[in-house]
Amino acid sequence: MKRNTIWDCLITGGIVIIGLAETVHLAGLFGKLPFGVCSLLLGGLVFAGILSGAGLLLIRRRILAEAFRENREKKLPPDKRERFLWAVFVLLLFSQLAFLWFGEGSYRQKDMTVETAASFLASDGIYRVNPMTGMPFTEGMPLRLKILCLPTLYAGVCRLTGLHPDLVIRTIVPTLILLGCYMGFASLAGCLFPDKEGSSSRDRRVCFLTVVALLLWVGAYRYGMDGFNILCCGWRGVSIRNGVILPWMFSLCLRKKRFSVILCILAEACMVWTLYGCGICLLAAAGMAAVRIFGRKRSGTVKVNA
Amino acid sequence: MAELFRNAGLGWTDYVRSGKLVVLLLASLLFLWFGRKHREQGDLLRYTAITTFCCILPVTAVLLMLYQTRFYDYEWIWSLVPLTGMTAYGITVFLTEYGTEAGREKGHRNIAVPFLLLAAILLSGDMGNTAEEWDRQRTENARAKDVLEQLGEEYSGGDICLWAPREILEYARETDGSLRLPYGRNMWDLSLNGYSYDTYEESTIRMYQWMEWVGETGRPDMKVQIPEEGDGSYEEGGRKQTERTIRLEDSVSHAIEMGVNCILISENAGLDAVKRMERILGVKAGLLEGYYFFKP
Repeated sequence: MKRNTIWDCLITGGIVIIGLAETVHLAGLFGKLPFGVCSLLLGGLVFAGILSGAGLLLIRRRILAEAFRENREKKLPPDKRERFLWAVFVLLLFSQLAFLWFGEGSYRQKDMTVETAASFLASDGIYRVNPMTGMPFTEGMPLRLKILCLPTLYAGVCRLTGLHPDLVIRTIVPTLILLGCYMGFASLAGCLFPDKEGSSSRDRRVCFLTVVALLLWVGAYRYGMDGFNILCCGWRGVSIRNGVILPWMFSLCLRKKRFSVILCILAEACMVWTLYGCGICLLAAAGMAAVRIFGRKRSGTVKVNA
Repeated sequence: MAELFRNAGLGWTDYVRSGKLVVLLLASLLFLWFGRKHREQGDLLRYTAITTFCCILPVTAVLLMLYQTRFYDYEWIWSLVPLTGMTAYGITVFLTEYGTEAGREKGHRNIAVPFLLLAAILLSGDMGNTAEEWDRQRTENARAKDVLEQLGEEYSGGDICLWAPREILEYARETDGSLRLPYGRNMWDLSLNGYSYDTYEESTIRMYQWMEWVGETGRPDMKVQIPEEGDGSYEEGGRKQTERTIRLEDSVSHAIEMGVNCILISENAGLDAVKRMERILGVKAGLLEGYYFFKP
């Protein structure tokens, strides 16, 4: 499955927004720009990015239209089992959305994103005061942490929309990340259960997504588990990486889409404290490549021996 | 290095104690590896098996912990393993082969399979165990919100440097970035200290301890054990300790030196504490949603 899916386009769009936020963040941090300017810059760049994306889609509309027509022709009405699985999946998804909006289940320990975004807005600058106290820094903070862009992205959204950081960070962002998570897993499902000649694997893909939804609920028992990351602290860089980027990246590795894998590695470097940019995405991609090369060599050897 | 090895060992024990999703992953891997004639998605299967093994084995776990930087705990090396994806894949394949019409045609019994799997999944985790904690948080937040609204009216947009019990400070800094605090959440959530090189002076730490002490006991003076300075000699079981009393006046004076202009203490504080506060600050105490309020 070499062709890009709608999930690929949406997740790539999300990663592009992270890249733009990183650019603005670095400009604001090292250029000591007022945060008002940074958020306007961010808004402008994202708007331009959306226009470019829409333009690109318009230019390639014939390809899109063909893909949709092809899909429609292939599509069979869902059977009883598939309808049941869809119903369970939607029920689980809505229960998770309800939990995010009304559950008060956000995990605040080991994280200071809300305070950081609030301090950017209050001090009209990036890291001008210690987010914990609102007082000037006495010793400063690690540069590797300082260059991560998520607080600027969230605070920029707050400045542009007038929404409170607590609402944006603890409710709106986790909602988008939850949806992004299912996009990532839908991508993976497409690779794990491809359509075979004469038969559709759609019911298996829906079953896979339903099991994922159930596992996310069940996995919300412990800090660091995928379910917990997505449902209790979806705004964090590590949650976005584990919940959205990694499942998508595994699907990319299976489809041998190397350019998009590089995007994943860069996105992680912008969001998560890594070993000089060498994060989990890089290691996982290298691991997948190594396994593939080793597997190919082994099967080659077996053929020669045979 | 020894500490890293201990963390890796304890991390694994802790990781499997609270839930059993890893066991479900291992069962999935076993099924996908040995339970079927045709092995599909071999690359992802091999990758998952290797990384799972690396996360469990202490030596490789330590190497992975070093790679991911010491900022992260043991559980984060499991990010490398597609735990949810591979477990769901195994379950889906199992259901397709054993729990459907196709499975029944092959002679497999399918009625109980989905229910048994559902039970296995539900027993692997622990949903809703923290509901009490969330309720407590909700109540504290509602109270803190009322307090801060009233403070906002009292100071009418002016600069506030607030010293209060931690549940108020925690909420204050999250909801209003313009409020300043003598110390922040990293005083009690020590993991947050990794985000900054700033440290607190000993006197600021005593301020925090005193504030929590007066809220819990109601007594204005707190006795603490302080390590002795000097020759650095150690007694059996640690460094020599001397008992010191942290008086209300010491804490309040330090707070004023730090620029605090708004003090809240728990209403559990005794009358003696309130009177001494009034005397040293030269203001009358007010009552605010279960806290004594002082505006020096």
